[in-house]
Amino acid sequence: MSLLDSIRSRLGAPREPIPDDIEGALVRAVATRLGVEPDQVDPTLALADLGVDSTGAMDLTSQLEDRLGVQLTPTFFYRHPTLREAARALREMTGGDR
Amino acid sequence: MNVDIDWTPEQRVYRERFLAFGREVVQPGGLTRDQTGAFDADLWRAVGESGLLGITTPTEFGGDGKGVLEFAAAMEGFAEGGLDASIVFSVLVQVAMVIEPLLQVGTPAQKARWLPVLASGQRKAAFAVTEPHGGSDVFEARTTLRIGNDDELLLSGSKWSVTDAPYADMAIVLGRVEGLGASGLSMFLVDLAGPTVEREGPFDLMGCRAAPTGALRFTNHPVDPEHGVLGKLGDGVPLTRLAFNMERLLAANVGVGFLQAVLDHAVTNLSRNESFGRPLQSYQYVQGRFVEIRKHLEFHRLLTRRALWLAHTKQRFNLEASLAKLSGAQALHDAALHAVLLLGNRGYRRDLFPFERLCRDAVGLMIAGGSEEVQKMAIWAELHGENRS
Ligand SMILES: Cc1cc2nc3c(=O)[nH]c(=O)nc-3n(C[C@H](O)[C@H](O)[C@H](O)COP(=O)(O)OP(=O)(O)OC[C@H]3O[C@@H](n4cnc5c(N)ncnc54)[C@H](O)[C@@H]3O)c2cc1C
Repeated sequence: MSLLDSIRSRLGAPREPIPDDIEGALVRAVATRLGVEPDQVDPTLALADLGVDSTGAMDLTSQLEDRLGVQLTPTFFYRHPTLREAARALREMTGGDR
Repeated sequence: MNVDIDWTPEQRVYRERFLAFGREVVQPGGLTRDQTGAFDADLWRAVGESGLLGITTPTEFGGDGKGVLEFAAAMEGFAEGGLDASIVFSVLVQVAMVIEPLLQVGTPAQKARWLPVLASGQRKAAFAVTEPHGGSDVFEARTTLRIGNDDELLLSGSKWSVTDAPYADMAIVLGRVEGLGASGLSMFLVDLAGPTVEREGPFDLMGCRAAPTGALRFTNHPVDPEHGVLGKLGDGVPLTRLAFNMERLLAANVGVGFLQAVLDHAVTNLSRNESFGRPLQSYQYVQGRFVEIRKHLEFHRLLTRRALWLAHTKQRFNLEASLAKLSGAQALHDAALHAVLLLGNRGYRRDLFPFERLCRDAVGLMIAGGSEEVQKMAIWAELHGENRS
């Protein structure tokens, strides 16, 4: 695919509605990634301490962007290391008070 | 244990060939180039013609088709013979940061367009990630690609402190895509011709003065809509890491050549001196400085060869490359300073010896390709099991 076409398809990808419980959605995404139950994922721990490496954090960042239609920087989880902090930042970004 | 860290006979031939080239072609003009602080196009042409830039490029694109060890052996000789960190920097940018990523992830069309002219030195490449607002936080790039009204791709933004930017013909540029966030961060292959690229520089540097850095300002600069991205859209992070890892590995490697030269020159020149009726080298405090230089050389060579071996055998070498770059820059600085002090007032003179220049150049190695702190962060991340990309 040409560069122009890949940009077009990335820009045109459908977005899901922003979930009410962003923290819960993040916890579930990480649980799926790690192959554990959601209640085993502590949202107050840093991603690295949960066992998600920086490549995993990048994947998660891209996944969030695609699904929520927000624009994040690659260092999003470096700036907001725990899922709770990340959820708060995302809530502010998407303008919701959820 | 089965350990042999020496070069093979074929690699030794590369080393000797570029040691001689360094002595004959590079070393004589080093002082003048340092003083004028300008890129020497004639020297670059000679380096291109020597075949150094194409050692790892496949023969179908005009190179030698060899591996990283042959290039490293050649660069060790080139550094030792030439004693000029500037031209070494220019070569490392071209080969480690541009040709290597192209070899690893370039498409056939990209390789066909760029490899022949880069491997022969006909075109000078730059690697542009740093921006004026800060280089350590490299993934916060603000340079942005957007789709224009006629479906053209247009790049805007500023890159800064980029080696050879004032003269480069092409660059790999880290940037984002308008409308996409982290998932759009990419490496763009950019032809630097045309009025939509403004250049600033050469910047007046402390060291590595003949490979001056400068700025590139893009204002709606066209990027090839077909072949303008290296790897995939969104591969900015892994490709930046790939290039930095190669740079760290190969920059550490040239340190071995420089350290060997510092030791040899210091020994040769000091043996002529006497004080209090005895040769200087008979004094233990003086001997101690030689021991320090030798210690740096041996430690650094061992660590670097291990990192090279890991790279050659396709194992992960990030940790070793960062360690070797971090300790190598410091070792080179300390060893060159020992050499300055060993030779007293003569060692302090620029016109007599290259040691004070190497001290300054070594500081450049402590910043370029990731500052000491950033190297330590990378090393910690490796120890901590992060960055497993
Ligand atoms: C000779 C030379 C050649 C270069 N060539 C190129 C090139 O070809 N292409 C290119 O893109 N760039 C190039 N650079 C730029 C280089 O990559 C950057 O200078 C480097 O990454 C540091 O960025 P900065 O200078 O903006 O410093 P900053 O990022 O502003 O950092 C300033 C200081 O703060 C420290 N610091 C920053 N963040 C942290 C942290 N989180 N924790 C602890 N300490 C921190 C840094 O270590 C440094 O000591 C070159 C630089 C030099 C000196």
